Amino acid sequence: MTGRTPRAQPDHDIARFGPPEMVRLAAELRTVAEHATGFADAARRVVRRLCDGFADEHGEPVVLRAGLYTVRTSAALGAALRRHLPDDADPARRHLVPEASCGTGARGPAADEPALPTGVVALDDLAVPSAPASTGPVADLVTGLVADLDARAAPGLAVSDRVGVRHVPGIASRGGARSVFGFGGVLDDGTLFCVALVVAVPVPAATVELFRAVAVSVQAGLLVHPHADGTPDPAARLDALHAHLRTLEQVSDDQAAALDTVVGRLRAEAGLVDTLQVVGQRLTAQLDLDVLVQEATDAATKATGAAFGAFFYNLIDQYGESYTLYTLSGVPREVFSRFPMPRNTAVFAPTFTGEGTVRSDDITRDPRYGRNEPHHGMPEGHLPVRSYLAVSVVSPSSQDVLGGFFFGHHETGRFTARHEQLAEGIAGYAAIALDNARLFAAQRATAAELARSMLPIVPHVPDLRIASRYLPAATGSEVGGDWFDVIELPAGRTAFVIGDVVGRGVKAAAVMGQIRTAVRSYAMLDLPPGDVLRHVSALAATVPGATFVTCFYAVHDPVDNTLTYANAGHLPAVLTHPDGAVDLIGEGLDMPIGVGETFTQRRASFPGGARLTLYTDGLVESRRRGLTDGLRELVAGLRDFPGGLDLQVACDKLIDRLTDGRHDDDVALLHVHHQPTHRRAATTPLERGPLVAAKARAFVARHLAEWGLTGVSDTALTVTSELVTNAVKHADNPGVLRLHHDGTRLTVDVADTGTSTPRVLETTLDEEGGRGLYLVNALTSRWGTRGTPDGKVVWAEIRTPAPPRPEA
Amino acid sequence: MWMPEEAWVDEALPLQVDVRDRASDTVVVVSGELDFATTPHLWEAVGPLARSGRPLVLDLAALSFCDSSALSILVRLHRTAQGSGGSLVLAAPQPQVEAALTVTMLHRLLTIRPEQPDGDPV
Repeated sequence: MTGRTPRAQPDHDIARFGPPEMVRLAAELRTVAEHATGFADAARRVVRRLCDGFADEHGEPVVLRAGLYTVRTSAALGAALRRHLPDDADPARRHLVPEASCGTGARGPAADEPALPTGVVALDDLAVPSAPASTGPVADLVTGLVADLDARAAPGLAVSDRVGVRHVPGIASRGGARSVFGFGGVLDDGTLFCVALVVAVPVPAATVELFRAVAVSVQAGLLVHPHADGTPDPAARLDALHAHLRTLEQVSDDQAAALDTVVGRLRAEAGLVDTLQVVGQRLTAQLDLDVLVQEATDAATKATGAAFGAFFYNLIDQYGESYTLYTLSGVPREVFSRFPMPRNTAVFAPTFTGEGTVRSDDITRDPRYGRNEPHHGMPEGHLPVRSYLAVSVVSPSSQDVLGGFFFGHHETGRFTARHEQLAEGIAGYAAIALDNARLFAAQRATAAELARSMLPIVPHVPDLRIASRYLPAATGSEVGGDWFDVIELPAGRTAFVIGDVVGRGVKAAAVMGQIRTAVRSYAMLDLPPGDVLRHVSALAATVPGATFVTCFYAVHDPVDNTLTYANAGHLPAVLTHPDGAVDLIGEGLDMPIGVGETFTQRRASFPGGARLTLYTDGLVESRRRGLTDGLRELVAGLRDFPGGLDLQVACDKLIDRLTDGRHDDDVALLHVHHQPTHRRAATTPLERGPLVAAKARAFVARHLAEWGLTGVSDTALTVTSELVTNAVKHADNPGVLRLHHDGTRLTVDVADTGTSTPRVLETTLDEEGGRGLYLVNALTSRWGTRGTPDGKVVWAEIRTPAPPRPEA
Repeated sequence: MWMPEEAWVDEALPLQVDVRDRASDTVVVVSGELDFATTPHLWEAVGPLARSGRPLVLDLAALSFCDSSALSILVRLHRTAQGSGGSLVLAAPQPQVEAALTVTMLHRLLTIRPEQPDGDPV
């Protein structure tokens, strides 16, 4: 490598040559030309500056060669140059005269490199490709440029218009040349100058255009010097300077305009990002499917500027069948309600199959349009659609097509690439949100189904109106461990259970299921409430995960209108007396299930008109309110409990009042209202003596006659006699006979102090004894025995004909 | 053949047993109620008759109630009568009594006639 003249300012990267670089280069070239000692020096400085001024991204020079030429007639050539011409030269013949060049000395051109003409050459020789003087692309460039400039040399044309640029792109040579370009202008006396550059990188046409301004500045710089024998023309130079200035002003105007465009585009981009982000945030936070699809449709319709938009989406029903729903935006639903769902026509198919976006300036001119039976296009009455945009919504998790957005406008050419981008962006968010909503809905449905399946079928109990509600927590999808139960016990009694397994999710639900079944089983054994909880507690100790379970268990006995209850660590129940006074009962009685070993049993009066309310902590405890305040509100709510409303509605209102309509935790509520209508009861003490059974029968016969139940007298008397006989035989104290009718069932029960449990004996036909309970068993719908604190009760139920309906 | 009428009455207890001999059998009219308190009296009154081997007819038309202890005695009377070469017929039971007999399947063991025996002594 030979040494090169140090480059003055090799800061221009021709690949990134823009208006600012152009302005600076133009000013530099004008300055070096002005400050030169003469025309030849100015030409040398200009080409040197051009050669040294450009580098690629690695700092390597990219201008391989540059040359500055003038075009002169034979007559205008100086004597020294004319020596090179043949004598017979036409004085008007024009020649290309090299004024200065650079680059060639440093690295000689390869054989196929575009070379610069190095000597005086006649223009007409240069124009002939086969002529020895022709130098390929550079010759083409120069002859083309001269032809342009000739057209601009006419007098009267502004100086700034008397310049030209020319470009020969796509050169490929071993030496590395990639393009050739040049510029030139007309000097004051009509003499042309032109500059040719051989460049190692492809130069974009837009960059070449920028050199028009460079040409003006070089022209202005060269005009300072007499280029031949003449003297500089100050007017032409002033003119050139003005032109230079105007060019620069023009460039800065253009620049400002370009900047505005760029800023506008950036703003639009930012707006697009903003729109997408806002829509995305809203959509992906939305788990309610109906709200989600409508918001997505509205957002996309607005963003695309469509006259109307529709979103068709597929859902899977409980049987696994797919079905399609749609939302509309910008148009009332009635407009589309009479049309069938869009089919997989040639126009719609790409959207429904997820092949990609369809955007058309005029869908009616699309080759796919109108090819399908029976409508061949839009069905009659369809809103006119010319501009059409359709985007698929594809599940990011399964890649299934979840649906499609369709936008229409009655004018053509309404949807741009930007609208398409927006619609696709919103479709992307909608897909994520739909996926989320579908997964969430599926999970929530499972949890709710699980919870629902655990709920009891609340039996119809005569004279008790029972309302219940189980609400899964409003937030989250996990099922809780709350439960309630209503269990019909023998002799018209009813057990009410409410409980809470601490914890959430499937584990809590599983524990709840076991504990609930245990309570139900012990309840069916007709054990006293304290014993039920004691047995369940002992059992819970063997159930993994049943570490903290609370339960309130109460039994209503209609014969004496009492409520017998026990409480394992649960919140107190609320007892509303017939006069409206409200009491908390069972507060802090015993420890939870699985912890406590004995459970105290209490009794309260539960006459007609009384109410019992059992509930879980979700009703009274929340993030906003402590337990004490919650209980106070519950008591207040029950004090104003509306009597006139449907009981279920009234309970829902109570829940709303306590939770403000949004509950953080599961809420279970069981409400019982005692409303005696058909219920009748009678009690008589039994006295020892031979007449005890006869007296008992007389007592029953008298009451059945009073109650209009003589139809079951025979059976009732047999049963009464047997039960009383047993009591007399097996116990010291025959106790009490009770008779109870709830409208459909007559219960006879006898309490005694004996502890032996009666059993039906197997007897053969001719055996004498043991037929007592056999008779009872045969004549009654069910019978049984239950323990009491001081003995037992044997009871039997007899179905009675339905009571006559009261006259309406 | 005339046998003196044997009557057993207790004002306190709701049971009356009247025995009338007829030519071919003995009719016992049982009225009132039979339960654990009264049934022993029935056995006392009718047991010897069953042992006599004479055909025995219990007229139950006036028996308004019978419990399982009475059923036991009826079975015992039946077996006693058979063991002595006699027989036992239950005549005209009221619905409660008939139900008690039917429910316990004793209608298969015991002979039951719906009609009341002719009241005239022979």
